Amino acid sequence: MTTTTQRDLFPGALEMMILRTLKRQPMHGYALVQHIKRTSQDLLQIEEGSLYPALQRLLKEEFVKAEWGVSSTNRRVRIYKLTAAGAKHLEREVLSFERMLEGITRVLAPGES
Amino acid sequence: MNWPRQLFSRRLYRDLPEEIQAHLDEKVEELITEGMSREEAMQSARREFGNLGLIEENRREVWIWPSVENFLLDFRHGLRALRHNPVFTTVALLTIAIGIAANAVVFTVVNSVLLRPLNYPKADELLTLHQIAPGAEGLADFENGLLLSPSMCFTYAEHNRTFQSLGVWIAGTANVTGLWADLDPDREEFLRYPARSRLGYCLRLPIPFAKFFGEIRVEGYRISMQSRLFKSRMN
Repeated sequence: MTTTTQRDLFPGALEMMILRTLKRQPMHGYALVQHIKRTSQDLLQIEEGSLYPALQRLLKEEFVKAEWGVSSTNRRVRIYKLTAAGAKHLEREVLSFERMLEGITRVLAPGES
Repeated sequence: MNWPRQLFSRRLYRDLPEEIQAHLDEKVEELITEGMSREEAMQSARREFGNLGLIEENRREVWIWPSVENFLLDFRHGLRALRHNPVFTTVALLTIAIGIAANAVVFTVVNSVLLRPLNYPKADELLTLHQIAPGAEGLADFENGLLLSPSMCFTYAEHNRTFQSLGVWIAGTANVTGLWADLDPDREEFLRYPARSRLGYCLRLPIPFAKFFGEIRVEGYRISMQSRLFKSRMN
């Protein structure tokens, strides 16, 4: 039997990826999900619906702002933009994540007892 | 986030179902383009989107205090349950009402007897003296003490070495109509102090007496009333 172990992302990971994606350009929800899936080459299995609570948290913290607009497929969608506060938050989060990753990598490095 | 902004943000929260629907529609269209039937595409889109109920709950919790909302829901549920069971509701309300009333009565007694200080300066230093005369049956009883004559009162006051001052009070009622004809003609309670009472206090009498006279100074057998009302009347 083949089993695929799918692990949850650590808290804040999805928000960080959303902010990083929005740093490139404003997007609506569906485009955000597609971009994250495509960029991660489907290594990250993100439940599409989980994006919206994360976006709501970012809206509440004023890390992103939203305006209704029209998508490339001519649909009425809400387009999210990164705010200055969001950009600063992203910098802090990325730095923190890199430190954590470095620590984990050192612990997992071969040859260490 | 301050309140006005949070209220405005609630609009963002309310817009979300429309946004989710747009997401699902776009996903369905894409899957149809890839060759799926509309029905299959809709099922697949819903599956990949995840548990809508859970997502709805998660996003609501972002904006709303869950505890407050839960409390309101519980409260409404409780009210509905009470409405559907009037007998239980009546018994419960009566029990609560009787309990509150009994508590109020007990507290009133405890407050007036034990807690509330007497209306004198340094009320905690005030003592009550009883004179008793064992063997003088018929003149005294041990509960109320011996009745006090004016001469005994003066004697006690002159020989007093223990207390700062000694006073005697007599409870009674007085008619406050007459000069102040527009006042309530009811007889009002008063306390009368005999001569040489050295309490020397301005007694602040309780309502309704005090509301007319403000304060009463004891001077011998006379009671002089001092208040703006009194002065204005006498002028």
